[in-house]
Amino acid sequence: MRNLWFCFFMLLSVQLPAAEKLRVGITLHPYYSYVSNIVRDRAEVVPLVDAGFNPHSYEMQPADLKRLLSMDALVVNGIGHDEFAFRALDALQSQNNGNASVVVIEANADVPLLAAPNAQGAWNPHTFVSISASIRQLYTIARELGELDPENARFYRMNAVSFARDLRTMKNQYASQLIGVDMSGIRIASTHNAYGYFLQEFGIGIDTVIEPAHGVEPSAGQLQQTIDRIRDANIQLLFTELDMDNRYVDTIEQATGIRIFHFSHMTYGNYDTDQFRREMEINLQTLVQALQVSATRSESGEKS
Amino acid sequence: MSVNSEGVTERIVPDDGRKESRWVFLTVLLILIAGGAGIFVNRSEPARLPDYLQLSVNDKAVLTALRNAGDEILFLAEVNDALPDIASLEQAGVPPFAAMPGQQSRYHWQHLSAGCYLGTPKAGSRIEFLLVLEKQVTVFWRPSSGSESHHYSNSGPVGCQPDQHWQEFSNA
Repeated sequence: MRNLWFCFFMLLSVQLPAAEKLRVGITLHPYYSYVSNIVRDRAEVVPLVDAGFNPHSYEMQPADLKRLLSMDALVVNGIGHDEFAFRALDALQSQNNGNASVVVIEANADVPLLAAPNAQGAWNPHTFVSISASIRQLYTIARELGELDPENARFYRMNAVSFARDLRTMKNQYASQLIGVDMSGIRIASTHNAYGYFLQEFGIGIDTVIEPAHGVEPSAGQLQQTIDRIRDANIQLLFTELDMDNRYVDTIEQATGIRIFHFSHMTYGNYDTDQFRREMEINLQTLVQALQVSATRSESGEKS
Repeated sequence: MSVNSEGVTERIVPDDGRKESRWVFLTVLLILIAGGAGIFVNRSEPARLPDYLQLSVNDKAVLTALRNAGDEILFLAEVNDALPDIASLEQAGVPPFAAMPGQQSRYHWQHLSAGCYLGTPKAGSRIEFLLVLEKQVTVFWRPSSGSESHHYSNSGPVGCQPDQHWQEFSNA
């Protein structure tokens, strides 16, 4: 009898191995924030590439391929901002005779996309510099992860809704600072096309995109055309990228008197669960400040 | 032309490469025709851009918000066991049913039947939107024709069925 009790307690004390957590890979910083906020502690979020890389020119390393092999799923932008991941997936497929087991989650599958300027058939991939388009991606990721991990499906979906509401509340806080600001005459230029989705959700379109392609500086002739267009169209605001040294921006400022404001591109620094929210708040602050300044200038210009 | 010792006249073609040139010319022509035909046969039609790209900035924002709302409504219906009405969506601050602070909603929203939400423009737009929730979320839009506002049937098993006047949102 004593032995029986002993066996019973031994059985109880044996810890059942915890169900193995999903390993979810991501390609870009915002996706680290999205997935971390969705899965919390019920899955592991693994960046495909170590922090500090340039997503526009990155070439995969052997260590990245090894990491890819250990993933259950890979969340991708998939419309032009993480082409390096697709080269890695192709390499993995050919290594495994087409039987690679990584599930690719296309976060932008259901986002109403914007067309990329100067490129036929290409999409603007900067859906992550936006709140509405990010919420769209959160829901797609949560739904797809729920299919891979049905036990936690509801948990993932509820976390996605909760994070989305948090982001929406933040956006509304800043939008309320624009009450009474007349935005009807505000005209905007942008160095590259990263902010189209973000400005769209405030009902603002972009009049001029300066760079002929992402990261490609305009030629002297193109710069002169831009300066002429800014003057002719009375464009008051120029949004450019934080921490990016664009010398031609100073030239435009000197030639036109346009006001320059900087947005975060969200794809630099260390991977961090709160990075998206934090940097999006900086972008919201910047946008509100820019619109208030521009509206004030328009008003004073009209009075004088 | 030359005359040999036996008095036979023989016509001699000058060896000036004219024949070879002709063959080379014909071969080049053949290659060009074959290449041109190959390009013509294999050319792909340029991808047709989705029609929603023609919508205004504000209408595209509504499209995104509505696509988001669809998933949010379905996710929350798992918890609440019911699809919310318009007042609940407004109260919960779900765009585009709820407008941004300081703005008037540009749409009049109606909950036509279970899983069917219709947005008709009040001002500043001529686009109507329809959100249909079945097993998945589908968003439709169409230019508003003003007087004829009911190009859908809500006699379907799960709500409304838009007719050919509506365009379905898709990136394809």
